[in-house]
Amino acid sequence: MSRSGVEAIVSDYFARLRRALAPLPRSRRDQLLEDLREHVTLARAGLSEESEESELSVREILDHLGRPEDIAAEALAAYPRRPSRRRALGLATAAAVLAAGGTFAGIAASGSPPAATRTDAAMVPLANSDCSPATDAATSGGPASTLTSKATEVAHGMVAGNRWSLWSARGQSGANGLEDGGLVLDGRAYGLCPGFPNPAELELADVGATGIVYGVIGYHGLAKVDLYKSTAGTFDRGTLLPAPEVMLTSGVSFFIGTLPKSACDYPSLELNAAAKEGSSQHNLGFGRCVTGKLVEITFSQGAWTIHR
Amino acid sequence: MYRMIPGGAANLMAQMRRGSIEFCVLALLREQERYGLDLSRRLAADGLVTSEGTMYPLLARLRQDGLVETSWHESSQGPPRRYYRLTGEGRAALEAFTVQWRSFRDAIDNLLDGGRAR
Repeated sequence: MSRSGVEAIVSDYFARLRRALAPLPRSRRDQLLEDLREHVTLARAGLSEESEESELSVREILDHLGRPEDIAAEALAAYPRRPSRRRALGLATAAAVLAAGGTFAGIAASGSPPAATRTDAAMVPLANSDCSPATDAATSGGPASTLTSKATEVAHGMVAGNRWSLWSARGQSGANGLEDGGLVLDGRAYGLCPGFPNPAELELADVGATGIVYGVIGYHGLAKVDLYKSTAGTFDRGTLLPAPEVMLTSGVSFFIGTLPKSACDYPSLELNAAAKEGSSQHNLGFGRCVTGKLVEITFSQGAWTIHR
Repeated sequence: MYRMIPGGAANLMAQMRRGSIEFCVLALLREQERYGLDLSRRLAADGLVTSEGTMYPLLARLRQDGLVETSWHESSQGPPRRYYRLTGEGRAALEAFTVQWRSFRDAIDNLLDGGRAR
């Protein structure tokens, strides 16, 4: 048997699997790859006890494991069950198409998706990857220690007279670290719900006289970020709002800015982001505002591209 | 009238599997911890998952939902393994499903038997 032949078969399989899992958030993708690697390692260890490993026996292990595309379909379809603020809205749908030329494009809506956002592509559940604990309106604005005890500060600054600091979850990096970490604003912890599958996500915090918006743009590199006071359920941009401060941190963009009026005065915002890797529109509707909390997101729709 | 198309039947099986598969995993964990390879082979052998690999997204979801938890065990033979075990929440979910499943099964059985039972 050829040792290198066996290794090539296994590495080809995992390369294909990695590609098929690309639409998943990194933490999930890495977890699945780790689980499946363990499966193959154990299965191969079992083989080598019985007889010498051959290309044929390794192929058999991979055949039993199944086509990477099927595993990816299961991961995308079954994802996630945990209630998130969007799931709480009831049925949420997203459609994503993998176009020729390696551009990933998607369109997603929740709440009551207008007809314009529906497509004939396969519908998969709209998913948020792991949200830090404080993203929903009910529990956001808790003590900073709930966040800082398990994260590392990666940036800080001042906004509307309040000190803010951005935290990345320990053991994670990139957008995932920020999304599983969060923001400390005026001593309170606020989450950062990731926009998966939309790379651009925004939170609106009610902290008094002026609302504060912040979010992560999951494209690599610095993104251009525009905010609009808009109308939920449309992609009409509406009125351009003051540009937020955008910075590159953990390899992706974080933005934070002050709105001219109170958070209660913005029933809808649109976030437009553009980076080398792609561009994204995210139209959000907001519910009741409560001082010291994030404003609940009651509607969400987006369209985006990812050039790979 | 009886005009069920074969594709419809296959789809029905897929839907029934999808609806019950996570409880099958919980049931396998009721008495003992198991590692992924063991779980996926058992379910694939019973035809409850289409391939062993599709089991892992499901395990990830159960873990995310807090129904199972995992720990690494060293093994005297071979590499370390990640073991899955039921949480209290997982056990409660399994118990609730067991009750519902039995009453569902009995109701269908009754109908299929022409309502003779009772």
